[in-house]
Amino acid sequence: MHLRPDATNGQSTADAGAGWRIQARLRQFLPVPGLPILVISAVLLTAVGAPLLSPHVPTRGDLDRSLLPPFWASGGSLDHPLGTDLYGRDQLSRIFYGARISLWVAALVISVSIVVGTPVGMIAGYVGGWFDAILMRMVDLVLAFPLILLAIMLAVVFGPSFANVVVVVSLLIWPRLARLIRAETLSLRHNDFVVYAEVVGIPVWRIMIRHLFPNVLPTLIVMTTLEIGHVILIESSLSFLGAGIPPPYPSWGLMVADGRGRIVTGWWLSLFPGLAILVTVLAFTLFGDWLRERLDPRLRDR
Amino acid sequence: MSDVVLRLHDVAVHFPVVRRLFASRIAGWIRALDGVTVEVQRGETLGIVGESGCGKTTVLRVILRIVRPTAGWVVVDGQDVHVAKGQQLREFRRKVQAVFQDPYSSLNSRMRVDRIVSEPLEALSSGRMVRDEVRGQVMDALESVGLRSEHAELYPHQFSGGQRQRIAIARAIAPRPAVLLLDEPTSALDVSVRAQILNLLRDIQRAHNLTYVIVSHDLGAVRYLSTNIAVMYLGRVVEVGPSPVVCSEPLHPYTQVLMVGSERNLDASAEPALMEGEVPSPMAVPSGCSFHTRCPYAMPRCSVQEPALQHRRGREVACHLY
Amino acid sequence: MSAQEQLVLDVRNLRVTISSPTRGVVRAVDGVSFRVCRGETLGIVGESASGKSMTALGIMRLQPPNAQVEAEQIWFEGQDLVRLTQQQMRRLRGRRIAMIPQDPTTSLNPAFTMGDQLSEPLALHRRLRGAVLRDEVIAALRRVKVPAPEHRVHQFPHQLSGGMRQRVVGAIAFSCNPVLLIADEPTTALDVTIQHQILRLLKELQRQIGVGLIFITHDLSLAWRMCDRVAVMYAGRIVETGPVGDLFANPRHPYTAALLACLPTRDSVERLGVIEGSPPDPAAFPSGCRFAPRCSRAEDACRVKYPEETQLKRDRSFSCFLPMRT
Repeated sequence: MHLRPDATNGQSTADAGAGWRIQARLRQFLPVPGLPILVISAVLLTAVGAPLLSPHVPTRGDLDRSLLPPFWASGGSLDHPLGTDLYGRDQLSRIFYGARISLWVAALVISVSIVVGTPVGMIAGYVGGWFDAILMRMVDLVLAFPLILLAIMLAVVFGPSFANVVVVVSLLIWPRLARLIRAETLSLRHNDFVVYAEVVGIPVWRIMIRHLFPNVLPTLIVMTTLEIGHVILIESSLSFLGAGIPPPYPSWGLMVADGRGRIVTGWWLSLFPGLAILVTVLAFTLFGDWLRERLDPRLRDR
Repeated sequence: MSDVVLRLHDVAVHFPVVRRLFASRIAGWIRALDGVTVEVQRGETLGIVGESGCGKTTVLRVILRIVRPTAGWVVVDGQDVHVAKGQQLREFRRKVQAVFQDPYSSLNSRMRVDRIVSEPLEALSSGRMVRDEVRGQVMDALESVGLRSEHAELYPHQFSGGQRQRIAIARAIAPRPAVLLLDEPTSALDVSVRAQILNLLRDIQRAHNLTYVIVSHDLGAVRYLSTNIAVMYLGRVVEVGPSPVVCSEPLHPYTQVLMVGSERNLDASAEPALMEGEVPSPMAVPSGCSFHTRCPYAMPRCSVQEPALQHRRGREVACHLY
Repeated sequence: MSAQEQLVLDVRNLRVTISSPTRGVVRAVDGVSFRVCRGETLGIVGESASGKSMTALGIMRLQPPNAQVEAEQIWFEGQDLVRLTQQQMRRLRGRRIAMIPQDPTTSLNPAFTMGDQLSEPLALHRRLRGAVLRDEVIAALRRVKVPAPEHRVHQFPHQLSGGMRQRVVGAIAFSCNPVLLIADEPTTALDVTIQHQILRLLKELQRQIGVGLIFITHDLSLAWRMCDRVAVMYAGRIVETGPVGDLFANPRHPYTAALLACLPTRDSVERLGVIEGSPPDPAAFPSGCRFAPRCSRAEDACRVKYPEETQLKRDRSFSCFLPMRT
């Protein structure tokens, strides 16, 4: 017999000291993570409005103005606020356009992953048995494969391209999504309301769409948010290695790579794109974390 | 006049325990049900009691076609439940409905109440019903369980445990079933709410001439609703008979212990010999009478021969003492 | 309680408040007072959200991180538990004050053997080592009637049944001869026949070492069987206390009476007594008596002011303006 415990009897742990209390207090003050949302909005804005916001065309450079430092350093000017690179291309514009590229790649990759991963995960979780075993071994296979290597090979054979990046990163992300969806589905599958639907004779496809998917959705949303940061990081790494977005497109990773040889003399070349990656990924991750916390206990909250 | 609505005839449900996924070696059998025969008349309530592992939940599952019987038949209104197909199957599903234990997991928290109640109705009528008809029946059902029309547009999390259970009951009675299977309908509820739901169930039964099968370890609830009570132990029925008879004069030693535990027993001296030991695993059911390992009255015969159900003093009991 | 009996615990005006960002201030326990003597069993009976479990956690200072425990005093063996630091509390927990929580599955660590889990408090509180420790562990298991303890010592929790696990939890609780034991619904998750066994064991062990037992339950019939005195909780407060016989035979508070009426008895053919509605939300208690919205006897006066405690005799009290007549 399982009587519901007191509504107020939470997962009680020993009073783990002041740390807990501070965290709890902080959470009370920041119901909405203002900073991450601000950053994400900024990134979205620049991505969408890059053509309007950029002072220069990112791919065209003026060799007369090569390697200009940011405007506050000697030799810099407000015309190129964050300096220029070896070819005289404006860094600020490249960073704006870089946001576009990063988010575009992320959007494509995540879309593909959701479209492929969700049904696979749900079917595996629901049907179980052989189907599940086979699907999950496939997932394991994909995850074990050194995809960076694959990306490099593809880049060597076909030349680096946008399509390559999307394909390779999607291959990496969809199994993670599928696995998580499968886990959620598994935990829901034996809930009474699903059993009842089966008893009443509702067809399996309907159960999955009507009953399981809406309950899996919150997890999906959270995972999506978290994975955006992940995708940006992977794409940047690939571009850094030369196996990702090809020049002259301004991927942040590529920009960091470009500045590698001039860390001291041309410090602004790697620093700003690097910061852009850091701040964006951090913002998405923090936001995803907050979202997870917001959605999760509420769901369990009865 | 016998009007048997539901009948289980010698039903056995054995689950194989498979050791390895690929080399399929059967390590043993879980004997969830081991030759169960019961009957329920229309309008009556059969209460099934017993502890974990006794098979009472499996009885419901085998009636609902969630598990297949390894042997025996389940017959509803003359129809063998497990061979029904197509229209017959739909008819069966409409006739036999269920209410589950946990009011929190038995309702889809992302669905509106009216949708929750109407979904099975629509599925079982195979599209023959008009939208207004459906809505009408949904509202009727909600009203019968004491909810109001405003509640139809709300979501489950806006209701308390007791109210959610009412919604589950509404969902079950909307298709106008003949039999309602109740799996621990009040175990997850507070004492004060329990009584509300039990009264409701009783009222609905009388109003619609429903037949109930209630499975619970809450003997008080079972006693309150049941016409007949079947006591199960390790997949077998050890005692079955009219509720007042079984409760006031339990014959089987196991029944005796169960009955004592449930009452507001104001007479402390009336505690019979307590059983020692744990319930054996359904994988290793003791020989002969499955209860002999814990029975204070066990005789040599008990470990050898399985006692059959015999008619004694107004009920059936399977024990060598009688 | 006669003058000879020793007082073990004296709680005065215990309050446990939870500050939740989503629900506001939740007063889980709102001014609870009671005493427990050596060798006696006090039952705390209530439904969900009554605050009974939180009371236990509050006494042990094991409340959740966002909860606060306050009290006039929680007197225990000459100390006021409210004023102790967590460090000091830790020295008491497991040794002087023990607890048997509700679900044995989650209170045992699935990664350690039974032997390990029993050894831990013994080594910590009684400083036993080596062979002496091993012997004591096996003796502890024998005391709770675990068959083949030498064998069980090496087993993991998942290899044991619920009843067996709860016995081990009991063994852990009793291992250091505590003075106060709090059992929070110790048998709710167990089968009926096993429940009997565990409760009987509990009673026996209590008799052996004379521990003061606080028995928390929602099941009145268990309270009847186990307790000497009972305190009925509703909406964070105690509404009635008294010796179990008198309380059951002559309940004064309408809630107690209603609870008793809800129990189906041997020969209940008529409708069961009901209590309409449900317990109030601990974040928003009504003004006045908290049971008034559901009470069939409530009048206007009940909704205005919370009824003060009426003391009938020593250890017999209730809080109601219109008590039931005897």
